[in-house]
Amino acid sequence: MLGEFACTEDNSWYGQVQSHNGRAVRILPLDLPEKIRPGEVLHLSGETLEERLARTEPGAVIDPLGRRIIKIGDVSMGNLSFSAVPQRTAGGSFWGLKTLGEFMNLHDGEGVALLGAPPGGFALLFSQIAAAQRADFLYIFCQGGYHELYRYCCAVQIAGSAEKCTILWTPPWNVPAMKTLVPRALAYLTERSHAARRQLVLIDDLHYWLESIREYGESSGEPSLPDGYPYTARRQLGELLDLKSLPDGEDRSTSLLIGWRYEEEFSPLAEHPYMGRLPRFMRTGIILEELSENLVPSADSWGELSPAGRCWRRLCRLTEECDEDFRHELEALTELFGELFVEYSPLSFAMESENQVQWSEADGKALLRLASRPNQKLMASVLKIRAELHLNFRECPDVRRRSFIDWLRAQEEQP
Amino acid sequence: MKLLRLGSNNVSFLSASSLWVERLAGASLNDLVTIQDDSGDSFVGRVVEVQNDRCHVRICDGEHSLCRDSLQVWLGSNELELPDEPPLAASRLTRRSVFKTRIAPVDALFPLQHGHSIFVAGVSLYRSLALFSALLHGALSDHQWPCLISLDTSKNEAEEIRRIWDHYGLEDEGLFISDSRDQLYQSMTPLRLGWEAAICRASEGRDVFLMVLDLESWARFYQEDMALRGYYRSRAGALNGFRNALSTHMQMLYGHKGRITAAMLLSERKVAGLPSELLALRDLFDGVLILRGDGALSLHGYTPQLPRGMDRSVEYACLLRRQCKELSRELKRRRMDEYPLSQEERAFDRALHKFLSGLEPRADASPQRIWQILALMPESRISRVPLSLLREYGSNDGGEALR
Repeated sequence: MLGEFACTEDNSWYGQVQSHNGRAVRILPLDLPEKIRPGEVLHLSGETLEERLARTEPGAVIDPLGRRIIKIGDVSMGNLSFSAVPQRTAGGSFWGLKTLGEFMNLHDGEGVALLGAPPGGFALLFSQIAAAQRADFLYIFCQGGYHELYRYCCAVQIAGSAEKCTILWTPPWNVPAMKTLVPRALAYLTERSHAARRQLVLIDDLHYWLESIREYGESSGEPSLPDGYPYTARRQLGELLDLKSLPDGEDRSTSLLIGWRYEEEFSPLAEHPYMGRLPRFMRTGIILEELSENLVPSADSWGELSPAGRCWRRLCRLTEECDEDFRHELEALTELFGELFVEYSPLSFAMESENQVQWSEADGKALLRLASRPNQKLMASVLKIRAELHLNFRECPDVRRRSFIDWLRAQEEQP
Repeated sequence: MKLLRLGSNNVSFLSASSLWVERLAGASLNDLVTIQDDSGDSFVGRVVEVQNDRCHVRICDGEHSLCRDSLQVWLGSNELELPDEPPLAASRLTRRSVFKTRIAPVDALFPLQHGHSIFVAGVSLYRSLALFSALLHGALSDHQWPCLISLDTSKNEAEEIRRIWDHYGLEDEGLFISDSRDQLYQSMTPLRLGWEAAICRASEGRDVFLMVLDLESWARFYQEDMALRGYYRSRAGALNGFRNALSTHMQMLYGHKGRITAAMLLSERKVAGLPSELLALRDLFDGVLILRGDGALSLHGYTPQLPRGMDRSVEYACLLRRQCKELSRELKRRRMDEYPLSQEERAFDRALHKFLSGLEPRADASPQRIWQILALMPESRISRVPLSLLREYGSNDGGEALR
């Protein structure tokens, strides 16, 4: 049977049937060639990928062959006591993107791409997202080693959803052929009939995955296209990005969040053959720039801006165009607004409560009105509120956001 | 570690770097074999040709003087293998403490932790040696066992490394150098031996400081290895394969987390004006240190923060780094716009520059040095440093009060 798995007697080596002509069977090896020796007996298991995956239970780390590696709950949190911070599971942001998500309007069932080179890598950023998300069911595709895997396991436990999560793990010592099974595995898992209402799929580094597909294609002798990728890469990528689905009649949706690593200096968006296609598949793309260790969405990001995002864009433009006399103060105002509503710190794993205080359209208009007619008195008060907010409430972002909005409304009321 | 005891003592032909073995059961292409002589010394070889019941083995290890009749050849080698089950032992994985390197800028801005892996992006091997020598000094004062792997080393650099090694009176058992004129498999040997030695010491319960110079040569070796095995890959495909190989090597250290601190160097940051593609490998590491052209530390590195309350100094370092980064960027912009700098800003700029270029190990601990920087920070900026940090270093400094 095509797609059926074949394994050695001691289950240490796996392969998959690619084709057969009645007598000879062509098998795609899914493990290192050193592990199998001439003369060993191969069994056809009679099971396909879907049948194996159907048997997996949630709350575990599995590989693309459906083998369970560990239970997420078994990974110890070490000597870190997170239980001191109560985690709310209702309300809050579904995506777990915190301030990055507030920059754009995100909807269920769409795809979001994060592009850039965050310090600590995408694995660190995505484990924080996994700790903050509030999806009904979470799928994580992890391509890192033990280190990254445990980060995800701990993050999922922090979010309190260890039983509502499946981690698909292809460690770097797997052969690249294993990664080609991932789109099919994820598509099967997300489309199961008993699926949860709002599902979220996290894929930490799509670029890494795509390079592995390229490596697989090259090593299996596929000729590559002029863009440097073999034929399979395009089809596989399409399959993976098609995981997302808008809410259906019963409000079930699958949202997709991917990371794409790229360095600003030498792989601009247009040059990469597949990166240029991303906007076609993904409705929102947030390109991250590093600004003194914090991440800020850059102007090239695409998607539907939220009130805070629009306000931030206009504020930046105003700051560039304003008089020399007020530039310093306006910069301070932009910086403060950015710090409270736009910037994201990927290096701190501190448990901040979810942002409940949201930026509204009306507040944005008020802030822009103030910034477009700067005067001496206003600017002095900007410096004052900035110093105040920097010194106080460092640990509670919501309090700082609330006091900034209060300050803004107080300025409005003054003649 | 696994040694399959399938072997043969029937060597039919021996030359300088290869031998033919008869009846080595189950050998297949690219298998690793262990060759043992009667004195118990062993070498690693690789099967490069199989003909019926005899196979051709190329010896990968360094110099050897073997006698044909006394040789035993075993299939398999004592290469390290990853555990079958993910290592779950919590106590070993979670020891977290700050490793005081006694390099003031590193301790104050990028505090390293035991068991972390650090990526050092240098400009050249020669220029980065100062930092590695300082790190070595710090590791020795911290009672760690130092282990240095240097791949593809030219004669002068090897001399320099040995000079540093001898300066601290260290034994050669922690030093693994491959010459730039060695053959491929000989060049890879220090890597395997070094990894083995580090893991062996760590399992004995010692803290190990592992230094690898450098990723650039390792990546080149990896590509050569792939080509010799018959995989012709594009540059990008090979890069991805190297990422996998490096990551796998680092996972071996992960089982001993808290015992082995690893620092790896990427010596060339720019290739023909473009940043090296290997720079993307920094994602695999816990911390990143970036060296400027003059060999001094740049503010652009990072170390991840510990969860709140684990160690205050890590949190303070992050805040301080952020302040310094913002301020120095602002100063740079102003200099470009040709705004005059105020007296105190100029003084701060000089002090920061001096602080960052002082990489040589010094006796005085970091709190005083941080205080020097803080004391020179302009008034408008110091208000943004949290009071708790000022108090911490203020009280360390004896009589000197806050400004």
